[in-house]
Amino acid sequence: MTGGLVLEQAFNGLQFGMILFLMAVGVTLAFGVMNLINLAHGSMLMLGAYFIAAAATKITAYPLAFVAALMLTAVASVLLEVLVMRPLYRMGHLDQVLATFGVSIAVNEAVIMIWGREAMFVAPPEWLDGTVALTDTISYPLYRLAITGVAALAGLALWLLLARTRLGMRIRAGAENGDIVGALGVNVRLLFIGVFVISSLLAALGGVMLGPLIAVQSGMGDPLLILALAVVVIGGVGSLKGALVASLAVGLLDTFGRMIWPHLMGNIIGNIVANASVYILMALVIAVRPSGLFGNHAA
Amino acid sequence: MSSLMSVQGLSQSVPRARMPLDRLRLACVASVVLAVTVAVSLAQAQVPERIRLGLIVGVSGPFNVAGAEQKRGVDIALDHLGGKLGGIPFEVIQADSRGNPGATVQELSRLIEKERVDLITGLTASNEIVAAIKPITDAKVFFFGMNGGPAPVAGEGCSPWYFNASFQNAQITNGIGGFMSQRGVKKLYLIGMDYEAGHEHTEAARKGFTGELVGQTYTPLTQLDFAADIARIRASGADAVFAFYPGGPGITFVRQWAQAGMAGKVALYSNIALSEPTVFQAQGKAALGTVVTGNYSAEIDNPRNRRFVQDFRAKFGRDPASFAGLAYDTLMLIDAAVREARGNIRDAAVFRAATERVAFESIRGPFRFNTNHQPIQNNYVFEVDQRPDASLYLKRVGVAAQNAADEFASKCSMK
Repeated sequence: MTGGLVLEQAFNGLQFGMILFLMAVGVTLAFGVMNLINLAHGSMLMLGAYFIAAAATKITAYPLAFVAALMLTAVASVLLEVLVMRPLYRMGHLDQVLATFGVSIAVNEAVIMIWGREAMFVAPPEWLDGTVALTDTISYPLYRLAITGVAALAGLALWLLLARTRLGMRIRAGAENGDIVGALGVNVRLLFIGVFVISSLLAALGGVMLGPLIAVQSGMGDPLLILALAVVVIGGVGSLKGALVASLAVGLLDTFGRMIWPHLMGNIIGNIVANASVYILMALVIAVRPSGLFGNHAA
Repeated sequence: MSSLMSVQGLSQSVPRARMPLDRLRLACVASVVLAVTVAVSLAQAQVPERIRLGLIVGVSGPFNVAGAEQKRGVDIALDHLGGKLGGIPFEVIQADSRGNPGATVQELSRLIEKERVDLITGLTASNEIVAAIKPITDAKVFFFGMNGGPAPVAGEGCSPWYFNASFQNAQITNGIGGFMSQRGVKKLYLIGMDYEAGHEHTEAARKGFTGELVGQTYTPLTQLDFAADIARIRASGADAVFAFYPGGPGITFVRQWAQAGMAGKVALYSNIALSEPTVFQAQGKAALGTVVTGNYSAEIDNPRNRRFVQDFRAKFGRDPASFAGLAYDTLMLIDAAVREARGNIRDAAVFRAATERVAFESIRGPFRFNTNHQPIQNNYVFEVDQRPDASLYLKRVGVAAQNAADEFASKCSMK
């Protein structure tokens, strides 16, 4: 294992972790603030990817298409919140799981009806289509570096929003006790729409950026949602700091595990351990700290 | 019917002068006529007035892209058949296997018991086919597979009621090992999805390869990012990789491969599951130069394939993928088999023998059934290339295996 390869894998792990963070933060926010388990969250990532694919055919300037895709997702998420999610906040978790799973199936079918079954093509912007030399022999795609950077900026913006603004204060207060916040005159209904839209936008941002990297097709967000759920369990349900730490840990563990375990244990067993490493970590964390690394909810 | 006519003609030509003998002869003739009539009508009882063909394809569920492409091939076949299967009017009764063995068994029993179909064709995923063998064998209904044949049903689990008109799974990979060696590949890396087909195809690719295997990786079915694995391939010093990634993951793998700057540096080999017309649009130029093996492509040159491809392009605006070509071919095979059996599809022994021996002009080139009812056929080598209008196509660059059988026939009890 050369230094160049380690550096390259570190970038890969970091980028994977940041995409997971964009997904996980929405899952954990929705749970923390609205007490909602949202299995339709993968659909928002998928919509982001489809919207950028559709927008790119009409708008040639990438930044404009980028913004258009996010705005379309925001509209879709408001509709979803008002029509489907709102009554679910006061229901049990099993009802939420069933209803949001149903939403994800419906959205998966809807994109097939609109755009067809076959995968869509999304090109990265030309000015990001190059590579950066890491060492003399290894070059790294510029686009992947950009993903990591944008995801980190989005995370920073979210932190500023939550920690430094009045809206953020209300969201944090709502997460502690929604009824009291409502009694103090805060419009909880609007607050919840805001949180749902922010969550959806972060997932859609992941989808918009993943579009040129993975197959844009129906159900594309679902495997990432499963990993994001694992991340949320590891980090502690409802904890933003937990989501960040666990996302990066999972991203790096998964990436380096693919190199280290087969090296240590041989191809066959090493491969199995590498594929299961995220879930092994999750099981260990649950065994030692049932509420996750940063969770305060008693389990 | 022609034998009946000639007997009647004989009776009319009987001379009138010698009555007693005439009567005797008339009686003889009458009894022959009767016997022939009975024999013909008995034979006709095996020939249905109308064939009910069950079509079961996974148009929803995890393999829906392949299933929808199969349906497109069927559409063209129905146009070309003009409402007749082997000269007999027929109707198609549709079912959706949903990429799910449980749903497959349910839908098959609906087709067999409720819809009373005469023949069944279709299926998309290997696990559906494995699940289908027992119900069709128990019900004694012929089933013609349109896509893939997993090892068990080609070997010990073969059935006299199952004909696979597409390929035994490993058949579309077999021979690529030798081809890679011939092309000068010295260090090979194998990578694939971590499930049965991933292991089957990567192992099949290894056969006949004479160089060194420098790495072997299986990735989980849900993995979306291959950057870490591509970095390992680069670090391994491999000069070629064989990658088994069908459908969506194939799009992902090919695009990330090109983005990592691997295209042109390390040769990418696979079978048609990785790169073909259903994914060309999404893979774009990243797919150029990829070498894949398979038993069918739109570029195979024979009059039947030219007609099929021309009509497919006219209707759907692009080349047919192998799912469509093989679905079309399966219906044409059934057509030829029904004709070969003179419509006797309800006499199982006659229809089975006719199907086993039928001289079927396949759009893929030479085709015949082996003793285990799997095809003996060519496995071609294609390279993804682009036409002057920038559209991608599979250019034929060689043959990986000629008139080749699968390796499981000896394990099948049918001889």
